[in-house]
Amino acid sequence: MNEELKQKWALINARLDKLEAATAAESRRVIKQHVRTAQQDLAGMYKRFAIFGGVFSVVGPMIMFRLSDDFINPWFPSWLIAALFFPYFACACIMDTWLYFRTKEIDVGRWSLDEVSKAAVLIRKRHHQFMIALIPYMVVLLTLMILCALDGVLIAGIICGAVIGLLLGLRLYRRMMADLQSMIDPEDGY
Amino acid sequence: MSISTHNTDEQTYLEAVRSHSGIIARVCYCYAADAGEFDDLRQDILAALWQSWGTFRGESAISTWIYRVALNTAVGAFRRRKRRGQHIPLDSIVEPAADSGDRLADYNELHALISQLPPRDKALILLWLDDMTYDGMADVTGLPRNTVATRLRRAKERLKSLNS
Repeated sequence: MNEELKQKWALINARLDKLEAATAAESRRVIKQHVRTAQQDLAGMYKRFAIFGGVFSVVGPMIMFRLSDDFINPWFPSWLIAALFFPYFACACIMDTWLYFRTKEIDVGRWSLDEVSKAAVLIRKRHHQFMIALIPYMVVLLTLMILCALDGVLIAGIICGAVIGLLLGLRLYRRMMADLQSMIDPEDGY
Repeated sequence: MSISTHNTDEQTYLEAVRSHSGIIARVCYCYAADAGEFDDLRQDILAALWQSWGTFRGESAISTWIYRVALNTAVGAFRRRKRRGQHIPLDSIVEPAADSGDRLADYNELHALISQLPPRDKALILLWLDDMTYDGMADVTGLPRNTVATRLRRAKERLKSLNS
């Protein structure tokens, strides 16, 4: 059986070796067109989220502090609204920075199949843990803003923003999970 | 100076890939279901090789490095690809030999057998068929040497039972 398999394999190899020119042409195209890997795609998304979180941890509270006098019920202090926004974006920034560096450090050329797969499983686990921490926080924050809003237009704006954010988030989440799945051996879990 | 170095580096890389293109084709053959997947997977592997080229220090043989990158890409990649409407047989990617009858049957038969194995077992069978040592297989897969031997034996037994 073993010898028979090896003989068949040798015949197949002879045919596959004829693809040398096609593979060489494809590798030139990949370099020229800057084709990105799933890992690069994922690291890029985490990096953008980390930058967004960092910028908004500073800008977000400032905007809320300025707007809250005009749009939020006076019994809810402006500084508290601003203060509640800061930890959300700061935590998001720290978490996404961690995810970015863990994704970036994966080296498919030096790490074994087992190491790459286990690293991707850990990133996926942490990603979900961070979501579990941040999503309820944002739900509480938005509910608080709706309860304290002075007019219906602001409430409609908050709800519209939340729905659009949720849809965009779901789309990006699916893309990130697909990228992570492509680095995970099915034996290590779906 | 930097452009010149970059170009030289690119040429070295292209030469390395060209001279080891058989490894890439064999990994794609083992993990792709049809010709469309073969092309997609080859593109993914080549992108991963180019990305990883900058960190390749020659600590391992270039063939080991290519196996590692290619298998790391292939093991999970098959679940990322969407099903295509049109199924193009895998044997269409290579030129049929003059005496094509038996060889084409062998080609499809072996692919059908290998495609029924789990991804990591496929990797072990591929490395075994390519005459890699147990230590080499352990290095590429990250499995202990004894586990490699056990899993490979089971994979071969499974192939045998599928073949009978």
